[in-house]
Formats: sequence, C-alpha cells, structure tokens
Amino acid sequence: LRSLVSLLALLALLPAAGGAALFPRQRLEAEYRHVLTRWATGDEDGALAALERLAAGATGDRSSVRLERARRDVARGLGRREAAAVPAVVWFETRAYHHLVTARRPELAVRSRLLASELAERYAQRGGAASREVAAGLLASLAGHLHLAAQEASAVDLYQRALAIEGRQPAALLGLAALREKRGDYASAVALLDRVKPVPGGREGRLRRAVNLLRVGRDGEGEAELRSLAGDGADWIRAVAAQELGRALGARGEVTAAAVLLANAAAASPCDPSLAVQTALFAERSGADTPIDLAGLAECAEAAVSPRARYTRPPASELRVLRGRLGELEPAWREALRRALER
Amino acid sequence: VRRVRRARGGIRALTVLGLLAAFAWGAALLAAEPPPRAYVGLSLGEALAALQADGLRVIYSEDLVRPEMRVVEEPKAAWLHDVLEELLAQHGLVARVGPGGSLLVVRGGVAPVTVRLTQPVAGDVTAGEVDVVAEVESADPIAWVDFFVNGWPAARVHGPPFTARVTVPDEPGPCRFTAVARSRAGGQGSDTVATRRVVLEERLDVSLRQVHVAVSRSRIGPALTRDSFRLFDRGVEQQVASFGRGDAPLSALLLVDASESMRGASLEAAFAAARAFLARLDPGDEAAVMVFADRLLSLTPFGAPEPGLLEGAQHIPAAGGTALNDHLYAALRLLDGRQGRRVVVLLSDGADVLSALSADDVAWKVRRSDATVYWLRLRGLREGWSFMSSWRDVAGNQRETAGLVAAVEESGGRVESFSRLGDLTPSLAGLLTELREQYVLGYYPSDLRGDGSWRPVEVEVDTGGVRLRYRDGWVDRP
Repeated sequence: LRSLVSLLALLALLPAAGGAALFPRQRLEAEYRHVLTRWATGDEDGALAALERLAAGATGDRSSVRLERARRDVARGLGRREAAAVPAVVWFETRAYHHLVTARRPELAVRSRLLASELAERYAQRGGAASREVAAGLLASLAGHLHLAAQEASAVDLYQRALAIEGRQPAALLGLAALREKRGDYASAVALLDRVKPVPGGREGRLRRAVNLLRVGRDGEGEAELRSLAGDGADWIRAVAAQELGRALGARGEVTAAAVLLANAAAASPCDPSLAVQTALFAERSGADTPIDLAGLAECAEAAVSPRARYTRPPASELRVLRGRLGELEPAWREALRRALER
Repeated sequence: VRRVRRARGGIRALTVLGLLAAFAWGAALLAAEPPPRAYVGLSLGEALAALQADGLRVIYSEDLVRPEMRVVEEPKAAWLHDVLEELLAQHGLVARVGPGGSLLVVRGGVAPVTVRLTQPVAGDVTAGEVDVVAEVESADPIAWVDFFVNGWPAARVHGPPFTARVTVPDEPGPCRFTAVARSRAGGQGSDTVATRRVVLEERLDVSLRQVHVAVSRSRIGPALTRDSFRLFDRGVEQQVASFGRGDAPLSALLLVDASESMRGASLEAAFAAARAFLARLDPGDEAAVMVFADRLLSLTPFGAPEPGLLEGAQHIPAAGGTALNDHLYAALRLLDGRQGRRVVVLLSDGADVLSALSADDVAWKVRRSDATVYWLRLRGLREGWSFMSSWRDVAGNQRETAGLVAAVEESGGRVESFSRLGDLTPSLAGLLTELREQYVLGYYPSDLRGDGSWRPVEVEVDTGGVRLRYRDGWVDRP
C-alpha cells in the first residue's frame, strides 16, 4: 500500500517536475518541432541557431541517437500530414549542414546530412516523376555543399544517389565528373559529361568535357568545343578554354595562332596572371617580344582570380541554377511545413 | 489589269498590317521589363556570378568574397553598377575600376587613391631616358608609387615628388607608362598614358658569352687560373677571352611563394632569409622581389639591394594555390632585360599545381635565358610524395616536378631541400658565397649561326678532385 501511495505521489508530481524532462524523446521532438516552426515562419537564422544549440546539447552517444531518432520521426510525421513538408525539412537540413560546417561543427553537421539524404530518398520513393526530380535536385545540392567542404567521398556517394533517382541531373553529373577528373579517371568524366543535356549557358560543363576530351584523345571534338568557348565572353571559362586550346595548338607547332588566340583572351581577362604569362610565352616562341603586363597584374593584385584555380574548385554553375529553382519552391515548402506543424 | 491591281492592293494591305504587328510586338518587348532578380539568400559569390552573367565585368578574389558571405538585404537600385555597390557594401567591400574597364572588388573602408600622370603627355614622342611624373591624391598617406613601362616594373618611389627616370625600350609601337600608387591603408589607384616611340636602329652586336662555373673540391688545392680551364662550344675548343672570379655585379630576383601551404612559419622563414640575403648583397648589385601564389601578389622594380624591397610584401597573407612555372617564367623574362650575372632565387615549399605553363615551357625559356636558377625548397618533398589535382594526375605531377628540377639544373643552378626552416638563412648566405666564388669564363663563340639551334658547352679543368657546375649549353638565337 505504501508503495502504491508513493507511486501515486510521484505521478502527481510529474507535471510540476516538467513531464517532458522525464521523457527526453518527447522533449527533443517538441524542441525540433519548435526549430522547424521558426524556420517555417521565416526566421531562418533563429532556427539554425536553435538547431545548433539543440544538437550541441545532445552530447554522448545515447543522447545524439535519441535526437536523431526524434528528428527523423518528426519529419516523417509531418510528411504524413503534408507531403511537401518532407522536401521542406530536407531543404532546411541542407541549410543547417552548410551552417554547421561554416561554424566548424562537423560532428553536428553530419547528422543534418544523414537526415536530409535519407528523407530526400524516401520522398523520391513515395512520389511521382516531379517528386523524383525534386529529390534528385535536393541530393545534388547537398552533395555540392559536401564537395565544397572537401568531403569528397561523401559527395561522390550523394551525387551517385542523386543520379540513381534522376539519371540526367545536371549538377550531379557535373560534380561527379569533376571528382572523377580529379582522380585521373578522364574517360569516366567524359562519359558523365556526355549525359549532360545541352542547355544555353551551360558553359562550365562544356569546358570540362572539352578539357577531358583532349585527355582521352578525342582531340578534334575537344578542340572544336574549346574554340567555340574561347571565342567570346570575359569569364574564367573563356580564359581556361583559350589556355587549353593554346596549349594544344602550341604542341602541334601552331605557335603564332596560339599567340593570337591567347592575346585576344588576355585582353578580355586582364587580371588573369596565367593567361598573361602564357600569351607572353607563345609570343616569344613566335618571335615577338611581347612583355607580360605586370602593371595590370599589380593593379589587380587584391581582386585577381586565377581561372585555373577556379577550375579546380567544385563546379558551381549548374548548382547555382539548381538552387535557384529549388529556392523558388521554398515559400511553398515553408507553407506546407507550417500547415503540417499546426495540424 | 484589274486583277493585278487588286492583288497589288492586297499585298500592300498585308504589308501595312505586318508592319503594324511588328511595331506592336517590338513596343511590347520594349515596354516589358525583365522581372527583378532576387538576391537575398544567395551567397555573395552567387550574386556576383549572376551580375557577371548579366554582362557586368566583375573581377573578385575568393579570398575576399568568401562562401559564407550571404546577401542579407535586397538591393534597391535598378542599374547593375549600383546593384553591385549595394551588394558589396553589405560586406564592407567596394568596386574599383581596373584594367580594361573591369570592376575590381576590393576592401572598403580605405580612402580612394587618385593618380594622374602629368608627364609624359599622351601622344608625345618618347625615346631614351624619360622623366615620369605622377600626381597622387588620397586622404591616407601614400606608401609608394610604382612606375611601369609597357607593363614592366621600372621604378618605385616612396615619397613625393613622385618622379622617376625610366628608359623607353627600343621597340616599335606605342609605349605605355603606368603609375600604380598604394596608400598605407591598402588603397590603390593607377593611371596610364601611351606615347609614340622613336626606334633607334643603331645596334651594337656583342657576341661575348660568359660561362659561370661553380667549383667544389674534395680536397684543398691551388687556386685555379685561366690556364686551368678548357672550354668547348659545340665540341670545338674556344679561346678564353676573359677570366674573372665572381666580381661581376649581380641582378638577383627573389621569387617568394606565398601560397596557402607556406602560411605561418614557412613564409616567415622565407622572408627572414630574403632579408638576410638582401643585406649581404654588394652595393653594386641590384635586386627585385616577386611574391606569388596562384597569382602575382607583389612585385618590386629592380633597385639597390636593401631590406626595404620587402616592404609591403612581407605583410601579404599566404593564400591560394601555387603557379610556380608561370611565375618562374615571368621572373626569367624580367631578368632578360638586366645586365651582369642574373640569378633567380626561388623560395618555395612545394610543386607546381596551377600553372598554365609546363616544366617543358620553363626549360625552353631557361635555355634562352642567361639566368641561373636556385630553388630553395622549404621542408623538402619526401621520397614517394605525390598528389593529384584537376590539372594533372599523380604521374603527371611527378613528371612536372622532375622536369622543373631538371630545368633548374640546366640553368647551372641547383635545388636544395630543407627539413629545418632554420637552415634557410645560412643556406642563402652559402649560395651568395658560391656566386661570389664562381669563375667567369668569357669567349667569342666561333661559327655563330643565329638559327635557334642548341649549342652544348663543356668545361674541363686540369686538376683532379674537382666538381664543376655550369650551364651546359645555350640557344643560338636569331
């Protein structure tokens, strides 16, 4: 009887002690729902900071696993109420991944990555063609963040998972090709880039394909593409195209043609040091004594950018387009998430 | 006739209708404004890329425009230039007009620097030595003004009046004079004028060639004399016309790698060694300092060897990849125009990653240059060390590094690797001693052809236990 009375007394004390504190899982779910509510109502910075606090507080293996499970359950529950709440959570967790990496909290960022990728794949399985396209885009966008953070093995995995859902996802094809290229697998890079649908403005993919075509011995195709890219524009793509075409021409002994091509590209990109140097070399080889415009390069010193360094970074053009398109869906996703949270 | 008239009338009416439709369509196109672009939420880099795609020639470094910078407020301006200013202002950056009308993104918060070249006047005829005068205005004190002639550094002036006497090269075509002023706060401004040149056709053809021979002995022996040496050019023994020992003035170019991997102790050690090297040069010598990473970070004109040459350069933060071949080629080109013994001292910890030029290109230039290259490799590369990049695979990078080492040795110089940074300064002192003790053999090559062919050179001494190092050939340039 005494035990029963003690138990009843304890139960009576529950609300006073804060019921959630005694059931951590529910408390974690409530806090995660609160984070999502802040994001859904437009307070992204507040939501990201709250998520960082929540994840940082769940130290120890058991706590972090419990939090992970709570986040997954909340997201799935919301998805059952509103299908569009799932991509909303994926999009938010992708932002969270980027935020946590920038804040140098990789141990917390990995949780966001795992949750976002799992939910995106689940969303693809449950929906039609449109859902698959969105899911592949979300995975490719997340992979792009990993690629930028030099998490290359994980980026490869995510790019491949995106391509398993949508075989011609352009950002995934470009990103995976760049990583294959970096490992010296040029044939595989070309095969991936061959699958990129030609679109107006898709210059970065064309450049990477052309550079790799030369490496696998398809010189004619590669040079034709480089020639078309080196002919106009004033961006890093034109500079690299001119440099690689100039190098190919130079190797064949067409030094004067290379010098002219490079001089035109250098005039359009006056802050590119390697273009200026290569122009001077080919001019010298063709018998002209063209000095390197070191005055121009000194003027540019603070703002200068090396197109060759840019080429070694993760491809950004298709990701930019992709994120722009996903960003257009964001208001609808936030709204769906808000509705799901209210129900 | 009536039918033809009717048909003509119909065609006329159709033409009028077509013109009206085209006019209405054109007017609608003109009236329809493109939807305003949304920038909030994008990273600053993405926003700048969007402006570039819209046709603005924006140039920015990713050291300044970092990935975490985001657009937090939507620009209100309509014109792209103003949009750019608003986007940059959110992160303390500004746009400055650069070469070719490009817009350079630079740090804000510093007073602008205005430069005007008052002499020579654009369109003037210039030849020989010319006084160049720059007027510089800024609210911040001016650190220095660099003068360039046709893009080459010609002089640096540290205080007013900003005047320098420079030499106009004897080449056809216009001559460009540029003054680049830098304030102590980091602001920068420039001005360029173009003049016409008078080409002086009178030339003095001097074909004396000099071979610098470094001698290392395994045992002490008597000093070597002119008669101790035998010199062969293209296999034919040559008469040694002049003989000396390291007393010719030096033109030294210090090429300092300030890429990301040099950050911290390595770069500090490199600058400390460079300072000590400059202090040990003779007053008759001249020196210049070029600091690079994946781009040119700083360059001084050739001048008296004094530690002041490092002013500004040693505060440059190490960042970016390494374009070693490109900058070594630029250094050799700079030395082409100098007199005396020419030396490049390269202080770098790694291998080339980002150059457009290959080691073969550098070797091509080395053969046509009279400069000797010394590569002091900080924290020398370990045996079996390898890396890969988007530009080259592991084997390609190893080939490039081996090719660059071969080019350095072909120049008559050497590569020295260090595992301890403290060894760098004594090693540079040793290198200077080696240069001072080199034997200089002068000769007039027989059978000059001017056909671009390679002329191998061999030097022998009549004493045993001696190892010689020298440039083993040269290109018979047209």
